Amino acid sequence: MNSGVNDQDTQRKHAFDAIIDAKDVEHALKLICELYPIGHCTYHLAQTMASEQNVDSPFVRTTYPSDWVARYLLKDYVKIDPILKEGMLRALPYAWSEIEPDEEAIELLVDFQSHGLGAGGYSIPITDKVGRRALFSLNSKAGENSWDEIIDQYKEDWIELGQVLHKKAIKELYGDVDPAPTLSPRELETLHWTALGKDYKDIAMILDVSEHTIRTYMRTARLKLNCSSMTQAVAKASKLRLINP
Amino acid sequence: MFLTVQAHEYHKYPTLLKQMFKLRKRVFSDQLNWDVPVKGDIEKDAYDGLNPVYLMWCNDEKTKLYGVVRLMPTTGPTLLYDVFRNTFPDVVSFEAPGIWEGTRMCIDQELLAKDHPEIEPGYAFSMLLLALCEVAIKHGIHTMVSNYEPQMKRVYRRTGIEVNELGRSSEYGKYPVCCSTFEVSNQVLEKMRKKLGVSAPIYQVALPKRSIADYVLEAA
Repeated sequence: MNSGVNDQDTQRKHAFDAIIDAKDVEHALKLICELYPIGHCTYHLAQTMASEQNVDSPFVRTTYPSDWVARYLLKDYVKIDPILKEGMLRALPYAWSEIEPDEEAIELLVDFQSHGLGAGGYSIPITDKVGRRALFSLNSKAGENSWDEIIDQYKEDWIELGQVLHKKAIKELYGDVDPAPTLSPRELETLHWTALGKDYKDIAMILDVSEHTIRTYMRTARLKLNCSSMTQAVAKASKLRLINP
Repeated sequence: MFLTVQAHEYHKYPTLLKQMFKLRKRVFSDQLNWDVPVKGDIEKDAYDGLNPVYLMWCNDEKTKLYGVVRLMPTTGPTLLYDVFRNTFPDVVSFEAPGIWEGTRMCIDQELLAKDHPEIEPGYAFSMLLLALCEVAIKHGIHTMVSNYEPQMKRVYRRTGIEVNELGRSSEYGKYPVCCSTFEVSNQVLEKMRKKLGVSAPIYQVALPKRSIADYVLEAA
């Protein structure tokens, strides 16, 4: 009965593996386009702040066709792009249908459409601990009729992928300076018991906390280690000598 | 009505925002004695400057504020991370895109008693939690981290929420403050609705009169 769910889980795991392994943001975006029912996607790291003067221009990668990218640059649309303008201020993910375009933006939208691009979109604002802001946007296929359903089905994946892309972008910009992630004692304990073959129910009992809390530790530990499964996370944590099961 | 106010629309709700900062001063400084930054009759901290989301409960005219909670993604700088990090190292781990923190949750009991005498304060708090649950589900949030005074646990339980306490901090002032997580899911939502006797959604994302798709399709 759960086979549908498992299928989506397996599919999701494969998708995440491939995207995490992609050699850079550009390749990751291409993969996301292949793996999800979308037209295009874009990752945009905002003009960086004063604290990082070595980068003074935004970092943008996109799968949009080159003629649209050229047009966007030529017309300096970045200044009036309503998705971007609001995206750098908003914190919650949003469907493009929530945005009220102003006069200036309408011209851009008409132009956008004339390039054969889809009318639907979904954008995920990203903030990191240093306060850097980025936006991960997904654009529907042209003529897509069930965009709202697609959003509902995949938004949680996309929200996590936003984080994956962000890490990749930071790595592309700053190199491999991020050392092994800082895992909390509870996350380490969870990894330790997982390595010994315990599932979240067992661990919840051992550590005397709720099952949901353990699943949350598993998720955060997995994400910090940039892995798509707990098995992988345990292997990586062992390799990094974070745990010694 | 319940509405989310984000940085791109702060300018649309100056009255509600002002009421919020005043309410927070009355609740957290005057009543609870929390060690929060107060200037005159308002309470505002550094995190208010980081473009948080405010979930507001207000009248339909959006002129009177009944309650509010502040939301921030745990991937960014957050109050609970900063405050609880030293006391409870576990909190450090709550850092993922689907985990958000809710802080400064409060209700204007006086105003509510005046405008809605039929709603008792505990129930009002529960309704705000229900709205929070709906907002979270709508935006792909699966876990909330929150702080509150210990006696609030009762309200959470009555609302149908299971809290997982991570720890307590005395850095807030006179009394300890709890830091907990709770799960957000459709099951939790159903349970809350049942407990509170609510059958329909109480929060809706505001949509413009004409959307981007309307303009794009019109041009097609």
